[in-house]
Amino acid sequence: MKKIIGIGEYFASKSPDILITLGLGSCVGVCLWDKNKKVGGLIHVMLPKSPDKDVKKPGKYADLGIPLLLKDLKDLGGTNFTAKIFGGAAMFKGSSMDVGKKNVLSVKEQLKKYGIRVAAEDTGGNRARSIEFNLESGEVMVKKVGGGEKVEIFKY
Amino acid sequence: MSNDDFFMSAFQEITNIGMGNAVSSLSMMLNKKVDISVPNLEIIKLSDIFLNMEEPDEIYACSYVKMEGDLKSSLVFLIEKDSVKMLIKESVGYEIQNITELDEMSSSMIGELGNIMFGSYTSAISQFLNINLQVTPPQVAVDTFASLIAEAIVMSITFEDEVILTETEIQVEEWDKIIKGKIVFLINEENRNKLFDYVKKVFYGG
Repeated sequence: MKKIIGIGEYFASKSPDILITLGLGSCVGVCLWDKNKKVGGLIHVMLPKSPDKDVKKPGKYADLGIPLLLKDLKDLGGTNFTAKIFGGAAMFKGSSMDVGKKNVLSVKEQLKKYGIRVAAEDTGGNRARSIEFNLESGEVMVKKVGGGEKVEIFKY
Repeated sequence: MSNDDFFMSAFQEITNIGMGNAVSSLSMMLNKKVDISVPNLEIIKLSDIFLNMEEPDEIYACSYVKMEGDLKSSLVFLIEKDSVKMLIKESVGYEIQNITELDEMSSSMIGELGNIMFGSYTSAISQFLNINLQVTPPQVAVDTFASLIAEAIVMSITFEDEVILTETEIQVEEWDKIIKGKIVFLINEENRNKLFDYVKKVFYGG
């Protein structure tokens, strides 16, 4: 089953599902995977930190969303995870706040807190990314606009 | 008529007023006849934003401005890639091969399109509703349709989960070719309610 994860959403599942998210600009997509259990999850983080603990949509924030995703993954039987992270770009010229960079830092801080190793990443730059996370192989297919008006595909 | 229906028709009405102004500014800038189709108003949850997107991977250029003052909203003008080339050829005077690497001149021309259009749109509705509104200087990006929409939302909305998205087609008559673009209005629930109140004041005197 292919499942599309929206902005500020997260989802945990098992092989052979494929988790997809589109339009990661300054947002960061975090793929967590347990290679033995073939359990994995994806979160589309929008902002580094929540204003307080009681928010309508915790998945928007790195500091609240990642622990929630981990909880769902553990409920599915996952125990030992590695992470792949994508996004954190600065798409608009002359945008003063670099939210992308802050998102990447906050995501890494959370992963470190839970002892999760970053196995691969493609972050920063000025291009948006779309990702497809295969829970069978753990592979992440990244699409981004390259030279010559083409959307290029990379594998991580 | 329910509140939602009333809001929709009122929104459509003020959009027509604002767009009337925007269209004449745009056609003056391009020296061409411009048509903009009537917008459809849709309320979309953040989590559903990527569902039903027709061509998420198509490359567009976009000009983004924020509306500030008595109402906060964001306005996005997205232009399809071949149309970007045509617009640049017509107004700047040279041909570009690759819109993903826009030079300074072309990029500021795309920004200016949004600025002129949304500036006149905003001044028309601020006069009509008798409220104070301004637009911020335009910001420009070139990327896929899905990512431009997503990033515009991320730049606009901080704590709400619903956005109102209005999509409309714009056509510039240009010999046998048509310039394709989309205009997206992003407004959150709080500002939607404010807008509702301003509209009621104008229609019913408060």
